[in-house]
Amino acid sequence: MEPVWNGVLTCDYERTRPQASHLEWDLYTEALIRWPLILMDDPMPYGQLRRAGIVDIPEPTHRDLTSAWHRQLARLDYAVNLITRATHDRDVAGAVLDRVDDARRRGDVGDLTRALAAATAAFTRVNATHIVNWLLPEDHWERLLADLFGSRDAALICLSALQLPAAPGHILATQMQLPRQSEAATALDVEMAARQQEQAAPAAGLIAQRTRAARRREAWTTAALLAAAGNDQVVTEIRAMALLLGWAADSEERRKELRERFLTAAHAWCDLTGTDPSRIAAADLQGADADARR
Amino acid sequence: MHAVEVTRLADATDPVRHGRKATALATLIHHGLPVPHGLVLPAGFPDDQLASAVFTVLDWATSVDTRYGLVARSSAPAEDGPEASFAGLHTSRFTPTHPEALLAAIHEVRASANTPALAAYAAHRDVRPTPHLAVLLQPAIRPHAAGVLAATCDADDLAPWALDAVRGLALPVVDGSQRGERHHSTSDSPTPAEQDVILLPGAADELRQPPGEWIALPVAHGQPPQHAKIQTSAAGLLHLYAPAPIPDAHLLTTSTRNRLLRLASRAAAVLNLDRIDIEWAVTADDTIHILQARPLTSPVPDPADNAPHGDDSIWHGIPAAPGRGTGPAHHQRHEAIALTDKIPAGAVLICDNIGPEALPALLASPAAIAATSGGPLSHAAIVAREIGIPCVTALPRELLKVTPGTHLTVDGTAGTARLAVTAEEPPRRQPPALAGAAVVTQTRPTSIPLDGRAATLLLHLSGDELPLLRNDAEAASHAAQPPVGAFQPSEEPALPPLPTGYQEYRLPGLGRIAWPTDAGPLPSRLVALEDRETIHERPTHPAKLT
Repeated sequence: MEPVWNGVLTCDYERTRPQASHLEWDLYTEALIRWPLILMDDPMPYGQLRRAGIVDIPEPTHRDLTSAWHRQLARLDYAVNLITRATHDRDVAGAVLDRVDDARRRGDVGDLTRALAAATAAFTRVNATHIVNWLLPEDHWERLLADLFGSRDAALICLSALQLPAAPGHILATQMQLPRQSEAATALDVEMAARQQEQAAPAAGLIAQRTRAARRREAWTTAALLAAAGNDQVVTEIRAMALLLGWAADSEERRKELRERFLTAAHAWCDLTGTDPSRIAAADLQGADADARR
Repeated sequence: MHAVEVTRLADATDPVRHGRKATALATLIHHGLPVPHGLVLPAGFPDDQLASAVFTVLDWATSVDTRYGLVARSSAPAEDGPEASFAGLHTSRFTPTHPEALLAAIHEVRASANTPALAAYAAHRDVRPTPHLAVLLQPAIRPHAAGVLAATCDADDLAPWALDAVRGLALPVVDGSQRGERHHSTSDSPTPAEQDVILLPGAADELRQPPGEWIALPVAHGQPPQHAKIQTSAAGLLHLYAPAPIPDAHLLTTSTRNRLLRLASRAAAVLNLDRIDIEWAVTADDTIHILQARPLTSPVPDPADNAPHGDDSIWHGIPAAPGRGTGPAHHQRHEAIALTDKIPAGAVLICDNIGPEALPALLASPAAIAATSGGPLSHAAIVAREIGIPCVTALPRELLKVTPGTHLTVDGTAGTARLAVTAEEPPRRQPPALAGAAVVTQTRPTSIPLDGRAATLLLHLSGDELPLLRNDAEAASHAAQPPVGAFQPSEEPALPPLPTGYQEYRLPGLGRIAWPTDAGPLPSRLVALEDRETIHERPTHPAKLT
């Protein structure tokens, strides 16, 4: 996100993703403009498209939408709901991409086109979560924790400890082959799963490191809750924050996996239909499937 | 008594009225050195005459090239002196040639004579700041490259010298936010720049373009055209994302560098200086402009040994202020660096850069500064040397991930930062004294804790199932291990029904606990541990529920 200029914020994927295709820029800009709808049922668009890859967001729109979202993120029920719906969106995208893969294997261009239209819509919902990279209330959380612990350094350590994906990141996962765990998995769950694998996996060091990280997350979550104890509103906010930080880290890992699958599928469709992949836009894949955009 | 009136820069001869910056530049002009034309509003120019002075300046501006606006710069009597540089403590402002904008820029520059940071610096250097300063107005130059040059001069030679160059205006290397292409008298080849943002004065139509649009960069003769995206623009300046550098091309050619060194040598001779600090700019037509010349108040350290080092715990950067300091790491955000009350005494401040706003932090006596950008010629690095705080700049960004509190040693002479050696480490924290304390955890211990705790309290969050088991009460009364209870960090609602053998207590201001009836007195405090170290604790003031 660029600095505010003349009352407008600019999100410029043309700069941050200079090697990306027109299609990738479309996927980001459309997901960005629709994140309020996808993540909190607010139909107000987050800015306007200037051109492929660039979105301009009036500062009042940014302020109103992010402050509304941040208020919701302090509620435990919303945090749980957000994680549930985002997980559902990922599952849907994964299932639709399975259909895409099946149509590819069969060489059925008609089915592939239809499945890809649905996958474009489904992946756009998943891609909306990329805003966690810069729109979470991290400054507020840092101040909250600094007040609770009486130390900014402790707040930073705590935030860092809580930003642990519930499941190993995709690079670590390829080494560890650990079973998928929920956001609520305790350090003991992680450790037990790790021990089951420890003998067989070649990456015992990685497993040990991840176990330590999970223990650290648990210890700092407990410390933050103890620090907040007695103030129900703050306890709730800390519980929500702990869930959201773990989810955000996890969400980015899973989103990247789905993005790779989607782009691979789109390129396969281009191969089958003789289309230049550097010239297609998201609208070309969505076709007339208007329902897929809902 | 002189009349107070706008003066041509070439006629600025009185350091008291025109300031040292202007008088030094005027001397250079008289000796034929390449200094841009300008006007000077003398110190003490009446406020109520500023509006009319603005029109005098704008009239003059029609006779020079002001495509890219004007720059208003401070020129104070005490500035740029041999005792104190006041580097970066006064303000410079770029401005379009509009009356209102120009007047605002002049006001802003004049107001910078009276800031708390400047007063603190003057007191530290034992010099007397003056409440008024002159304002120097010059056409804004749009350089291909600009920077600073520090040199020691004798009759025949200029050595040692160090030169930092960046694309566009010199501001990023002067304020320490970017690392310039570094040339040094002891090295044949320069160290490449690490520049993210290019600053350029903008033409009116360019300043109306939003972020994300493209601007043609001034390029040296013979180089291919290059464009850069606008990050933002304000106060007459374009902030552009630096494109990838042209491979195998130095920003400053050897020929231009040598011409610059010759100019510095002449300037030092003319100004009768043993050591000189010059701010310069080179335009696309290869013309060199001298923008400032002043005494160098402390020698520039030699360049760091850039040889690869095998020890991962040592980071190499550029030595910016000599000396060695050890202390706990404290991460300092750019926007918060002026808040001295938040800086632990004797800490090693880790920051991405040290700009002029870092001065209060420097005066708060930190052990050292470790910055991941900037160079030894940035203003704050100069001030760090003046007041004796060891400082290293351009360290790897990996340093920003160091855990707060980790003891670091910064060697501002060698240009290194490293984890403190054992002898300099403070004693590690002793295992916590847990007598009377209950340890709050989310997970039931898998073995009997032998850390002296009075009890383990399993964290219970309202809405979840109570973590206690039926047989916990039996285990709790077992003499060999501390009892196990539960802690809810809120006073409402009441705990779910407890297993036999447990009693519920309210901890005012904390929450509720489930405590085995035969486990003795309630804990006096609740503790959260990480790896057997206390990370937080709260005292308890229990009240038994009836």
